[in-house]
Amino acid sequence: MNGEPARYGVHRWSARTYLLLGGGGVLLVAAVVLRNPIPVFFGLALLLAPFATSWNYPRALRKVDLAWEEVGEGLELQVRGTLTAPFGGSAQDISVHFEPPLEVAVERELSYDRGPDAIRFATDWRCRVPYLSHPISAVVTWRDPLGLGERVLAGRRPLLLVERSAPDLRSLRSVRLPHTTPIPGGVRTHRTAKSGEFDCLRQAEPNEAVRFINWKATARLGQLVANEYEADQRADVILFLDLRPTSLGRYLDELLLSVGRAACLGLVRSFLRHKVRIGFASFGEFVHAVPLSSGRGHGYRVVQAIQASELAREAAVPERGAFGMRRFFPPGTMTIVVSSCTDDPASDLAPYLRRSGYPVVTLSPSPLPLREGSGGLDPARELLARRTERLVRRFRLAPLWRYGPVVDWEDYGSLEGLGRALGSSGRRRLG
Amino acid sequence: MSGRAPADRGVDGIVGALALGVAAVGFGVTEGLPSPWVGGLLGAVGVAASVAWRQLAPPALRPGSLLPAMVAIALEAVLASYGALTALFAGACGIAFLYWLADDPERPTGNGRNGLPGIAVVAAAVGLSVALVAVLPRGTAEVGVAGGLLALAMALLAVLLNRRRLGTVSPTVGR
Repeated sequence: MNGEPARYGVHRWSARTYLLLGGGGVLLVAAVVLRNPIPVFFGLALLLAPFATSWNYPRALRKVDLAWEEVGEGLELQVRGTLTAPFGGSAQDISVHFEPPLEVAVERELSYDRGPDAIRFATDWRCRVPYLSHPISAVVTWRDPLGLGERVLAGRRPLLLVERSAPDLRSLRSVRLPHTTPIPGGVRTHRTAKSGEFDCLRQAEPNEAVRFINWKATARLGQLVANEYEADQRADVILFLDLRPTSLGRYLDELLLSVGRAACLGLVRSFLRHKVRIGFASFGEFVHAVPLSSGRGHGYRVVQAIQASELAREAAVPERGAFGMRRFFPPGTMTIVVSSCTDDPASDLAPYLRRSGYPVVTLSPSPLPLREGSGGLDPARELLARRTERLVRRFRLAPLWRYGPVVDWEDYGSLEGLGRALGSSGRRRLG
Repeated sequence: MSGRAPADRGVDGIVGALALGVAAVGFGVTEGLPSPWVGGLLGAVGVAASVAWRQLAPPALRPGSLLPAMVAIALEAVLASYGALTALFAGACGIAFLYWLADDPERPTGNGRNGLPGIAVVAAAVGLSVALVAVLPRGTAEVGVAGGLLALAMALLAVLLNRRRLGTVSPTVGR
């Protein structure tokens, strides 16, 4: 009874049913061959049981409604739910099935409190990573008491969105991102606007709004003059999420991708708060992008794109990523590459993006915190292994500094290191 | 992900195992072999092996725990000589076997009493067959077998009709 859930109302046999039917069939044949009816009396029970239990399906359970929520705090996740229907004595035969996300460890197995009208269930999980956003779907089944088959029950099945907040880029306020230029090295022409910093005075238009009139200057000059403001200088930033699989294996890759998504979400929310235009690109086999823009609606689009990012099956060459970026974003735009950078240096994206004209800051979620304690070492050896691994990782990331600042991100709860790197990249006028 | 208390689980499992053991040993003793101990021992060993398999094997292998008992009772049935009491014990073995299946302590749905309505249908069919064998004069036992098969055909028909009706449940009910 594994695999894809059946459609509502369809009865599925278990492996045990086929054993019974096979045994009953053999006994029937034996009875005919031996001309002895005794095997039939045992075989009859085996042959009839699957159909009798299917017939025993309680009709009142045609619709079982599910209501559930996640009530934990911090890294603790507590899923609580209720199934409602007139179960009567069949409550023991009802169960709910859902898969916990990969990023959580099951602390307490699913347990049931069964009543005649409602079944309450509960399970506790613990997050392994600071960010989590998963819609979870559930299937409710009736299983016959002999374990010979099960039936998927219909009813309301709301998705449970298990979400934990992303880390925030707290030091962003002090970071001056380099302003986007149409061509690397170029300078944008002077722009004026109706708001921003005061720039100069100009002659008022016939239908000029009263609030723009500078009355002191008008009195001094003897004609209506209005204030002119300098347009808000908006920086642009592209978040480039690396979805390519690495030699770490799918499990660690998934966890690191979850951390990378957390970083992107934290950055999107922080940057949009400061009127920065954001673009998002993900790169697995191909580049998928959300163009540069700002505003709440755009933020929603980017968040959806981040949450939809899945680990790719195949790793594409990095040239393709840089080439794909040119299709969606103008060169010279500050690019934050979120990549674990664990494989061969030839697969790094930063050199290719830099050569394509994008100033790059690399945010590299480190796999070391996720691997701690996995070898069963004693504390002293664990410490030694950690120090060695850290040295190896620094050696691995060092060549990337030629192309831009690199943040070896081990403290997943904070993005302060990236804030410092962005500040330093602004001062050094990268791009 | 089982939600049953350990004490509850233990008691249910014992009742089913005892019922199956008594039926299998009784069948072995009465089946008409030259030594009744051989049949009894065969039944006892088969049931003990199934119970031990279900209790001790890893969860992935537990669905196969019914095999030793089923094979042992099937062997007894094949070796048995014809008689009303033997037929009664063969039928009882089938019913006890199903009750033992329902009395699985590892499943959240495991409860012997819950399975009784389904088992009762099987018991009625088997009982009809055995009654026909017992009531009718010797030599017409085929009528009992035919009665059992008739019950099987009726059950099949009922299930098929039932499935057709349930298959019309709209998949959009849950939306």
